Amino acid sequence: MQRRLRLEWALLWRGTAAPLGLALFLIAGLFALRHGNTVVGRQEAELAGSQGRQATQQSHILAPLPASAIAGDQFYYLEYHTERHPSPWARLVIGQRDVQAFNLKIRLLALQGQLYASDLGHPLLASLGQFDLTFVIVVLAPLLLIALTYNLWSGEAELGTWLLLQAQPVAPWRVLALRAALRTALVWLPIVALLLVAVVVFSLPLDVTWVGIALASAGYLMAWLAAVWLVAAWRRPSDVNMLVLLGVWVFWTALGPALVSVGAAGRFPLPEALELTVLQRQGYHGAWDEPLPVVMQVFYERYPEWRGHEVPTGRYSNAWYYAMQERGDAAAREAAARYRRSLEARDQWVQRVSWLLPPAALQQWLMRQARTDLQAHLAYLDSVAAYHEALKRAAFPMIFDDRPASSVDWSAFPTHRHVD
Amino acid sequence: MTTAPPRALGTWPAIRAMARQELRLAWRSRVIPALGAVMAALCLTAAVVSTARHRADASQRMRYQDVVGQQFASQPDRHPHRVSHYGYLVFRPRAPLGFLDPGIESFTGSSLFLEAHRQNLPTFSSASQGSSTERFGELSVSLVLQFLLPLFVLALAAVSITREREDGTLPLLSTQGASWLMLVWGKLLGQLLIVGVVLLPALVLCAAWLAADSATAWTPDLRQRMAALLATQLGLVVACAAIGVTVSARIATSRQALMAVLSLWFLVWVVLPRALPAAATAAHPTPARASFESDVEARVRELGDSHNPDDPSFRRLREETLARYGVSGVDELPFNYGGLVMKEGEAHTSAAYQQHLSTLVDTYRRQERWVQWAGLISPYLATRPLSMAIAGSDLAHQLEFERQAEAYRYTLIQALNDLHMNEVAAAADRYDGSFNGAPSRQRIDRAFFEDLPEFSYVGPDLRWAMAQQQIGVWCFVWMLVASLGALGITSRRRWQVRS
Repeated sequence: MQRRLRLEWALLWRGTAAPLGLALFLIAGLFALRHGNTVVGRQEAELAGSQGRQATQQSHILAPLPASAIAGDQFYYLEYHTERHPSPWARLVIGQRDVQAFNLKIRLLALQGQLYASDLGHPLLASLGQFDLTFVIVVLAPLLLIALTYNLWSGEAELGTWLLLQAQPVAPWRVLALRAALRTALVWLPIVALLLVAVVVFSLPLDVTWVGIALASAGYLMAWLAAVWLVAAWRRPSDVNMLVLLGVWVFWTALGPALVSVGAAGRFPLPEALELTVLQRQGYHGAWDEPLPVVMQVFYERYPEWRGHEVPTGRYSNAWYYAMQERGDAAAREAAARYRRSLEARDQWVQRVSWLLPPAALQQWLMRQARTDLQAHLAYLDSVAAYHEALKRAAFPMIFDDRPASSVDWSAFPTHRHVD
Repeated sequence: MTTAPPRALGTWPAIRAMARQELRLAWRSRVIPALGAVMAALCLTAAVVSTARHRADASQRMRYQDVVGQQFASQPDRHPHRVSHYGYLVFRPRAPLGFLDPGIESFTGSSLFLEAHRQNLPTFSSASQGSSTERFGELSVSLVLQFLLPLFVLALAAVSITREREDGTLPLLSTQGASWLMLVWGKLLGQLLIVGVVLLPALVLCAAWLAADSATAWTPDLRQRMAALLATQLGLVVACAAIGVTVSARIATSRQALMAVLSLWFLVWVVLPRALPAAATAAHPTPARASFESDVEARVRELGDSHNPDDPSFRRLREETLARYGVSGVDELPFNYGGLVMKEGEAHTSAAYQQHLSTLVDTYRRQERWVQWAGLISPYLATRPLSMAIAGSDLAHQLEFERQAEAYRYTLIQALNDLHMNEVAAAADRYDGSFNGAPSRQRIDRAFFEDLPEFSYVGPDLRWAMAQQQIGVWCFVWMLVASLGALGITSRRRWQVRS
């Protein structure tokens, strides 16, 4: 066995393909780690500055206020920064983090108008995709595997050594199996090495997730190996094998996922997005033309604790203003919930269908582990909504009692921090 | 295998004869028609699926745009500044040929809220709503024709001469009077014929499908765009076939030739398009939205803060206004001073925003240049930006939409501020009135709002699109010249018979 392994190794390493392929693969992997670090590191730097920016903005608004200023008037301007911190694995699996907002700024106004903007970024570059370690594992690793194994059987047949091999005391398929195993390991080990580099450089934990990612990559390569084996069993010339495997690669990594995304968009068109925007705007602005008691009634349904509090009817009051904001959210709440359900249904559909395509399945699974998928983003939006709620509840006493701005401890307001 | 052209044939008829023979051979093989059928089926599926989606999107946005327009028109009497905050909601119409090449459309927001004091970003991009499968590309005609078809053409062309060399038919050809030049150009023409025959049914069906689609208004601009898109596509196929035949002429065996073009495809179609954006954003980082906005706010404060009573810029405005009208207090002015402050504040926020936006757009341009210049070595990246520009689904078109929306926002808000200045009495500009049981400032007649300008996006034409994409055009021309030039140089060599 050991001798055969040594021979196999010699056979593989003698050619230029394997060393060159491996070297390129490792370079691509290191580049990907660097890129992941750049993207996520920049987001972290941005998040590190957000409390400072919030404080600067606050001081610009609050410092020049005259003594007569009331606190309730300031909430219109004050922006509260939210922070979605990446999981340690985001550097390896950027996933959706680059197209989803990670530091929304929230005002006390109606929430539904503040949740759905993306961050800045060149859309062309985003559409071309991220060169992260996931890309290297999901898209490039199978190519290396195909390059090393496409002539598993046909190579022997074409060299005329297959007959010779059959005359050996070892069963020929064992020879091929050993060869396949060795070459698959040769693709997997660099992945493990890259994951270890990531552990050292990004100080990631060597935990269950790490082992899971390494094992999932191994399982993924096994799926590819199965495809290679099936094609080899078909006993065609090497060129045909290569083209067929290439076809599988194109379908699994490019065409299939493209079909899935078109299917998802067609099945779940999400008209609720535009609907909730229109409803929220109409609900809030319509409130200015509605009798004050009607608006307050909508507000009291959600915040009954303020029912007994007197709200002036003949003049502007901040209580009325923020009740109108709630009126806008109330108008859109049902559509927003439907929007949310459709998003989740769409995501679940994609998850289910992805199992037909190993690359898409692995990609989805990795994104789940790294918390860079849609679910993680929705969890962040939930935390933003909860934060918005907490801010409102903290601010309502000042708003309803018309407290002077100078009497408020502005630094005592809740802050937001969400870790994926 | 190959029947040689008779001696009497001139160069061009010989090339044609070679090409016809190539087509005949391809037709007889089972693989090529089968692959071609797959390609054609994909193309057709993509066309049907994308037009359906395009139509659904477009009608959905149009419907909501109508709703928003009606809601705006049927407002009750309102204070003008209320209307400024009510604002306007615009939906980006889909790109004219977005159903052929969706470009960046999934990565930009679809709705944009226009209101006073601030420039919002478009919301609800499909990418942020998705599950990331979009990253592999959506199934579209351009994906099939620009990503997959080149692979097919390259592989086919790469073995066109090597196979004959391996089969030993080349000496036969040379003795029959065919020249190396005839062979090389004949092979090129042959590949193009194969692609043409394979795709023709799909293209005809696609064209019929589009012609039957009454929802598309075939304006002259759209026709030009369609023609340009076809020409771009043809150019890409020609370049790929030329590269493939060049490789086939210069490399000994089919195996090596195939390996060479496959490596090229992976490098240039798969790896480079992902590696370049990474390098481009590392070299020219995009600011995060929060820092961008706080930079704009900082600039607004420099220009003058309308909420700060001691702000020097607004104190100056008051003094100048009072001096011009020869009065001692703002109450004595013949108009509502509050409206003027709004107007001035809007000018400040808008100027600050424009300044920072132009820096941002500059960053985008620098980033994009990395991808554009890569077109010098990558036929894919020479074609992509051009194809998207022609389809109207590139960044330039998106920015033009946002520019027009912002220009409209500014006009609308300033028109409302004029109404605020001239139609709302300063004395009635506080909440001591009542309207329908709600506290209210003075409202003005709703008829004023009916006279306000309406937003209609005027899509730029093809000439504009090309002017924005000059690097892309040059790289595309270079791609054609370089690939055909390489083939030309190769065709001047002597017979390369042996492997």
